[in-house]
Amino acid sequence: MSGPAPARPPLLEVHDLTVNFSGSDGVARAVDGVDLTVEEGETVGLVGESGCGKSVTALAILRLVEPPGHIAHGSSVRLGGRDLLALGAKEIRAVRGNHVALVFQEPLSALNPVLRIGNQIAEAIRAHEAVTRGTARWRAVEMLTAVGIPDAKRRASAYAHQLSGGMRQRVLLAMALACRPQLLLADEPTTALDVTIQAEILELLDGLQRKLGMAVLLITHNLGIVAERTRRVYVMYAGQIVEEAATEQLFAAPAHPYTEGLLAAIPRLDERRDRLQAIPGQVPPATAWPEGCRFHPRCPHAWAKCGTEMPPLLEVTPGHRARCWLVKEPERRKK
Amino acid sequence: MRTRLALAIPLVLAACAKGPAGDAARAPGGTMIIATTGDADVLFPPVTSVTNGINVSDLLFCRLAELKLALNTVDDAGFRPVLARSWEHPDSLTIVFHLDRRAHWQDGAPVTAADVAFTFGVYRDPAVNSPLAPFLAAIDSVTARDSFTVAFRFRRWYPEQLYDATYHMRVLPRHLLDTIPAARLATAPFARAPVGDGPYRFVSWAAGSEIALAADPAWFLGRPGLDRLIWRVTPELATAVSGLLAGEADAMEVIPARGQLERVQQATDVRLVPYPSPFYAAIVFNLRRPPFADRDVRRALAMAVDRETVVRSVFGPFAEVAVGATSPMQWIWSDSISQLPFDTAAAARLLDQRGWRRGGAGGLRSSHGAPLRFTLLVPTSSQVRQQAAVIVQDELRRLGVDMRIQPLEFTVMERRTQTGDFDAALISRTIDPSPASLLQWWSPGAGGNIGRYADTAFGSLAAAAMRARTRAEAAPLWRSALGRLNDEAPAVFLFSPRNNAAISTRFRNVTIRPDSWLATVTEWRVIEARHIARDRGAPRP
Amino acid sequence: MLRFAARRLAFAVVSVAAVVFITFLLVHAAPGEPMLGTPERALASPETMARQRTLFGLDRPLPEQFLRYARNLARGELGESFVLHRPVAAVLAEAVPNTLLLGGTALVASLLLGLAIGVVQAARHHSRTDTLLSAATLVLYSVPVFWLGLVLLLVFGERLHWLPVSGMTSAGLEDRLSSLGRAVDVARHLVLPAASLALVQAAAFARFQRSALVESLDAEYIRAARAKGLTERAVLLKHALRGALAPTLTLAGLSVPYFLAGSVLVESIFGWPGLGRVAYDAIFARDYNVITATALVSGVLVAAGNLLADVAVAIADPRVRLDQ
Repeated sequence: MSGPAPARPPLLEVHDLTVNFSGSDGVARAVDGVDLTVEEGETVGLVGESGCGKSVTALAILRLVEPPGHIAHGSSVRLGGRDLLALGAKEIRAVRGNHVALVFQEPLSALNPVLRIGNQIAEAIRAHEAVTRGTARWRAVEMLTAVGIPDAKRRASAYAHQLSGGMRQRVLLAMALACRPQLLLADEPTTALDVTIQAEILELLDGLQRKLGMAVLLITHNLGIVAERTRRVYVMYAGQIVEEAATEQLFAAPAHPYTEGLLAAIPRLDERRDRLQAIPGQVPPATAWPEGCRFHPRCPHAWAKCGTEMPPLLEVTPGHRARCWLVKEPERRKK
Repeated sequence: MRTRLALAIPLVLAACAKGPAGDAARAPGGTMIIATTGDADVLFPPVTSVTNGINVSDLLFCRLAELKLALNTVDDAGFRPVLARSWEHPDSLTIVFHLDRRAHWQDGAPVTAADVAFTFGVYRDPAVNSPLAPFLAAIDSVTARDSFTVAFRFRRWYPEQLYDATYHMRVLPRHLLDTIPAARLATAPFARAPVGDGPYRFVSWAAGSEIALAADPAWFLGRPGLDRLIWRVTPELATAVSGLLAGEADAMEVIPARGQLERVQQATDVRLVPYPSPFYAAIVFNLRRPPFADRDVRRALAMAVDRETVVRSVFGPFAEVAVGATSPMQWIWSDSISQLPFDTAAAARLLDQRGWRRGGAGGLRSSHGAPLRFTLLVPTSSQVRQQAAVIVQDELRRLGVDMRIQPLEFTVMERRTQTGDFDAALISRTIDPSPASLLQWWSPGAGGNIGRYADTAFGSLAAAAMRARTRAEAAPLWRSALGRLNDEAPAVFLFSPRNNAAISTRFRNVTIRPDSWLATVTEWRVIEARHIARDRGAPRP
Repeated sequence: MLRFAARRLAFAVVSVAAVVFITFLLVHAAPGEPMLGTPERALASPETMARQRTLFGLDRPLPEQFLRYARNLARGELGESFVLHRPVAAVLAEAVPNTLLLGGTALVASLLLGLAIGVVQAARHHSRTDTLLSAATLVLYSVPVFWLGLVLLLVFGERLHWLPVSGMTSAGLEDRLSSLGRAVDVARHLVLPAASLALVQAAAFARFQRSALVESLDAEYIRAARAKGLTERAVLLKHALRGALAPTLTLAGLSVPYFLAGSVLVESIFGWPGLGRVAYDAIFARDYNVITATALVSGVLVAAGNLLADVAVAIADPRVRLDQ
């Protein structure tokens, strides 16, 4: 699925992004040398279990990692060729919410409980555009209508706790899209919602994306969600990208045992089972990534080399890479 | 307050119209701000009880006659005329006063004999319940003979008749009060905004904060030297002194703490004016209780206390060792009064003789197994008395006597001493200029005799003194009586503090009568070269 | 909401009634009795005092006295001061506004100062400024009000002559001042006593506000606000402070007793003619009616403080307002 190389630089180009958290029990490398790109208008998936570093990656793109976390030297985040990590405080603020917006996982906690929702949208507009209070409020109502909130004018003066979960997520979307960003970082945008509403919100997101022509980095633990919406997928484990591929390719022929595990965990209508039942064990803590391949303690195929040498991202086919020695020694795969 | 001011201004105008206008124009004027730690209670002389209330109402209301500075309470020559221009003794039970016809109330009405008679009635009325009523017990009646002549009829003859007739009462305006029921007089509006006949008129009173008086330019004895007197309530003594040093206030009646006195001594714009105080402090024994019923035990304890050491360590130079149940303010005070010596050896011998022998734990004396031990009550309100108690405790311990100190809140201690529930108490007494007050504290059955002291020898000496016709005759008798009291030791008379007024050096002609520090304030002046903003802030006529 | 308010009001009334009852019992049970004179002059004879007791009905059995007091209170009568010979209501009417001015100023000043310090600290938490301010507020918090008052008085009043040391007005100059001049004069007199009361409590508010803010800065909506591109200032003042205000406002409501107790000391030091002085003098003189009435007024003020804090919290936090 590799197209011709784009003439312009990609919209978002993350290179060797590393985020460290220094704590009392040593330094945790929550994100470790992540490379990823998002083209204009493209939808890209970033998939992994919670704790794998995908949320931190999103925050790091907007430099919202808070102490004790910090982005390591040598990392680079380019937006349309501009290095976001080199910007001053004022310049990065002009990017946040304006060129790149973020939608959070928990709509209830991401909305300020003591401020009216219309106000919270309007302030995002006023942070970037020189408009009057009245105009901003009017635009906020318009945004609320756009995300499908009925009676938006009245709802604008409601508080978050007065809305249902789905409504809140719509409000969050309205807030994020108020300034028509080029890129939306959507961090588990539907996890907190029940299934029918999940579908509604994702549909809404699709529609808005088409309307606004923006790119989306869809961050989720659920491969099922990325299957129909994304062109390419990155799979993340223990702070690293472990596999990247065109979506079809990934689903058809996953190369990394972890990806296989994730695929096996997609809930199906015909059976009921627990998430990630297919992968025994747990994600190790960021302070103690295992030696060698970080997945090897949980990997059904692991052999001695996996415990000592960390595999690089190895090319399976053009545009499909995986961080697994099996790419080189497929015979070791157990049946 | 605004309405009061509005009422006061036309009164000032009216008064000016009548007064000697030329004199008013030349008057130096000026304002004196007096810092006081307590507010007044009420400005109605029959019931006014706290110091500041008395100070203020004294300037609003006149007596018939005033004691001169020497406070001679016996001879007629000791008094100067005020409302009474003159007086005579037609017989031994009568004094007839001739009122000064110039005297008038601040609303313009003249002061008349009817006012005087009315006043006597108010002071004696049980419904008014004046604490001063007992002092008027010897007066049988007061009658107006004509508008300006009033006769006082006494139940018996005694030399201090004139003192009793004039000192306790301040004449009240009958025409403003006679419609008010006696029981309501103290709570009537008059009692918080009085109309008087004195050198100063009432201007305003902000409770807990400030009382202002203005000179009555038409006062019949001449316009006062200072235009305004303002009392500022500053409860904390240290703050009051700070205000004085910062120039916010001009004067204080007394500075009762040594540390604060020393701050004033270092100041250049404020000086201390010492004067005898009307107080003495004493350890009073409760003669109802065993060890103190024994005269020799009391004498031994008295001899064991080095009063000189107590006074110097507590007060430094600011107090006198008491020569007896008196203060230097009274004319009977004398170094010649016989006192028990400080003699610990004699004290020890005396206790040994009475069976209180050493030998208990810590060298404590005991008799028949009972240790010589008692509790001294001291009020928490008085730091000096608490300090003195500690020194006395130490001195008595050396004699083998265990004195325990129990600090009590003032009202609680008063209650205990009034009901006889105490061993010994370190009390302070406020005395009148008249030595007759001795009987109030030390004669059998008197309300102030908390220790139940009773001695016929003292009684007959005092009675003889009360009958003496002149001060010269009375003095030796009173001094013998005081000597007898010392010898009997119903109490250890410790000290009489020397009062120190603090007064800005802006003022001249300052004299102080010990029983009433502002008695001569009409003579005080501001040095003209040292007028400041508030001196020019006097009410404009 | 209405039912909630009614319940709170009823609770307040019952509390105040309980305060009055307990105070009445306590003052009568306390040793000592009224009108035994003052430390300066113990003039009154036992006979005079006995008569006075009869006049005021103090010789009656306690239950009877209480019933009479309660009956009068129900009619809005607070009785008469034994010492001042005037209606207690008149005494309070003069003192309460002064105390409200002093205590109110101190409360508002301490709240504003405490919030400001807390915000500065939270904005740079774990920085050197934060540590220094934490130490400073801890020291200030442990300073006795009385001592602080005396120090302020000596330094700014007596030594530097910047501010007057006592009273509410400049004695002898009132007549010459315009009404604005008088207001300024009162304000100048207010500075030191209000500061003595306010500084200690400001330290408490600051410590409280800092921890509440630091906690609320951890919230997801703060990150969301930053992600919108808001300035740190807007994040802190609009998003973090608003939500973190409730505990401090509640504390402010609960601090009314502190200001009342502190005013007894501060009013004494600075000669401020307020309720604290009235209460102090009344307790000393066992002026029962005045003591009970000051307890009543204090109880009402405390209840009002709590009620006001509830309202303020409801304004600041819609969850409280709308959940009732």
